[in-house]
Amino acid sequence: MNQDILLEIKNLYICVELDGDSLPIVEDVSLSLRTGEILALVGESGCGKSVTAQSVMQLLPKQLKIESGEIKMNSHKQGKIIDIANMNPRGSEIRKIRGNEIAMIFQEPMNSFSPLHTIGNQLMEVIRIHRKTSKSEAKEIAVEMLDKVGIPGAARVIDQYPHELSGGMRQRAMIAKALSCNPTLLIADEPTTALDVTIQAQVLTLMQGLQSEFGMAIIFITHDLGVVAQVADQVAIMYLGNIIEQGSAREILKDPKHPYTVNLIEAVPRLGRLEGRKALIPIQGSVPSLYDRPVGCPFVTRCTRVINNRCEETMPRLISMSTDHQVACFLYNPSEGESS
Amino acid sequence: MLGIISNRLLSACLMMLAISVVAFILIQLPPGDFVDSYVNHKQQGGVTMTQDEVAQMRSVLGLDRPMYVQYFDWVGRIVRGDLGFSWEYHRPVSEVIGERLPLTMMLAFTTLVFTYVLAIPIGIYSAVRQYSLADNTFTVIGYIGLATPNFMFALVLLYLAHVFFGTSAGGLFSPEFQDAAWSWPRFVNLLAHLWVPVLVLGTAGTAFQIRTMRAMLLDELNKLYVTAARASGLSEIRLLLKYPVRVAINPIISTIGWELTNIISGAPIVGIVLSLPDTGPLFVDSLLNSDLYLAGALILIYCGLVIIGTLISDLLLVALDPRIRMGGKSSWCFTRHIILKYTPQFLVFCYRSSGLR
Ligand SMILES: Nc1ncnc2c1ncn2[C@@H]1O[C@H](COP(=O)(O)OP(=O)(O)OP(=O)(O)O)[C@@H](O)[C@H]1O
Ligand SMILES: [Mg+2]
Repeated sequence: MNQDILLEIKNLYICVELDGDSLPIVEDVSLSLRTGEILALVGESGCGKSVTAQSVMQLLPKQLKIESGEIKMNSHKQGKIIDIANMNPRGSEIRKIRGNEIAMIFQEPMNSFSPLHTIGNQLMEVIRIHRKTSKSEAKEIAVEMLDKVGIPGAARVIDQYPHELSGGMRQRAMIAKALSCNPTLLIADEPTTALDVTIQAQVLTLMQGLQSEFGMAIIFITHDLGVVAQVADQVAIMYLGNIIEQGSAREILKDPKHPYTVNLIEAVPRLGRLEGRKALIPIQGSVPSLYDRPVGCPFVTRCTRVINNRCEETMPRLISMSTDHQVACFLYNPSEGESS
Repeated sequence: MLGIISNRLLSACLMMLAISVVAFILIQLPPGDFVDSYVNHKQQGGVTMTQDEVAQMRSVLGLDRPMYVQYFDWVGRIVRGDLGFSWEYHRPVSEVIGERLPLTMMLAFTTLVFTYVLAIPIGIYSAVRQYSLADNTFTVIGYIGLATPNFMFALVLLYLAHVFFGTSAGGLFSPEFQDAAWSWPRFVNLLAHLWVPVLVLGTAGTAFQIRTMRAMLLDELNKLYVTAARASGLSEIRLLLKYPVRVAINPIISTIGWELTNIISGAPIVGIVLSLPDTGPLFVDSLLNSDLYLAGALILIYCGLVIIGTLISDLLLVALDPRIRMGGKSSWCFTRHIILKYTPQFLVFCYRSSGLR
């Protein structure tokens, strides 16, 4: 593994157990993330973004399992490369990583704190698990973190209960909790989706600021291509558990290749360019359910540019369009035969 | 906090007052008063009382006065600490109850502790190991426990004790301690006998609380804050006890009052089947004989115990849940809450006691 690579996921398969059957939810996902980089994971609801992210911390729900594949991380704190995919989800190895080297923030700030414990209690807990500090030192760090994320009156908020804070403030507190042990990787699972628009923008700016201050890498899960344009270095587009296009965010937003990505970008409303107002083009049809996943390309049921006898039959592999842009679509590799 | 406590105390007092009215009416509702049942008794013994004698007896006991006069007389005396006179036992009610009440309270309290001490850990285990062999076993035992009437269970235990140990599982003391003064050996002897009625009285409640704890915890285990806490590197056991169990246990605590109602209203029958020297058999007798003041005092005491239990669980809940603590509801809200909460309990209680006659 290259030294400046922080996280490398290779050929990851995640399956759900249903009455003895195992159905793939995430198929053959490979991603790599450099230290300090922001990767956006984009896709429609249910395409497996959260599941992919959870697997990186071994936080998958009981019914889901990592079937095969690698998740390797270059642990700065332990000074070695660790193999997350093979860790026991209940073991102590992964607990040393969680909250310490990889932290996570969630979509719903309303429910991501326990209602019966103070914000301070829940912040100090992480700090005391991973850093050897006394109670009062932990409290100082917690106040400092709350201050950093722009919560006014941090010293008072620390003794408050989650229900006393607004959604935006709670999300800030969650960010403070996530960053309190200086993680090298932050996973943000739609951190702004549940907030209203002005608050969304504030939280986003805050995260960008903190990223340049703390230098952690971020996996940013979102539906919102506007957010991608604003924050991401790299982007991976997911569809039905597969990555269908990935690479530099700038390049992909400017020159999307996969018909799905093209559709996604056309479906984004744009302010400010009212004179050339084009009608938004919604993507036709809807995502097929896991149970009737098409045999070939997952997007084939909704694609307008299907190549007969190919797209329905085989799954296209990712091929490089340039050094930092890959796409899985037969439109761009007419020469590829049956994929193995 | 103080406001909430005083609110609840006030509501409890109001509730006691309401209960005293209902109790007084209910005791006198069935046809016939103490004098009628006394006359009946005499008749069975071959003695017939004249009309005059009967009327004189009524006026001596004060039963010829209008109901509301009797009621205010009764309540007035209770407020002054006088529970009245038991006609059946020819002694003050306080004296008749005095020896037996500690045993009733001890039985109720032990059963309550037994119920929760057993139900909470089992419920937690069942939720965490959902559908495991142990979970399924507890489920089956639980349904049997819920479905078996207490008196039946008591009879079965009596029978088993007789067949296998050749002893009687009834009573609370061995013969040699029956009338002895309180001493350490007597207390130990009590404990050795207490488990039978505790088991009988507590099984259904325990089964029910296991189900509740399990369901509550299963609900909490899937919540986001649990995943979030796990994502900060907590060990599973600390995580479990600090967060979901802590949240799930609150509704359990709020059932203490209800559970106490079940225990206390179930106790008289069990007391009779197992011939316990507590207030249970006394209560049934007093109802059968229309021994007005004895029955009234016992109902008030039972309801008082239930209200105290509920009060304690309410206060515990206030202490444990910041959302309630800071909710600061109005006093009317609480009064209404208490009335809504107690009325069905009380009706169940009355129904069960009157079913005894
Ligand atoms: N506990 C579970 N049991 C069964 N299936 C699950 C479970 N969790 C997720 N899935 C399935 O995995 C698929 C991917 O879910 P995931 O939560 O990763 O979607 P997502 O891309 O994050 O969507 P969203 O944008 O709505 O959050 C979904 O089809 C979902 O039904
Ligand atoms: Mg999601």
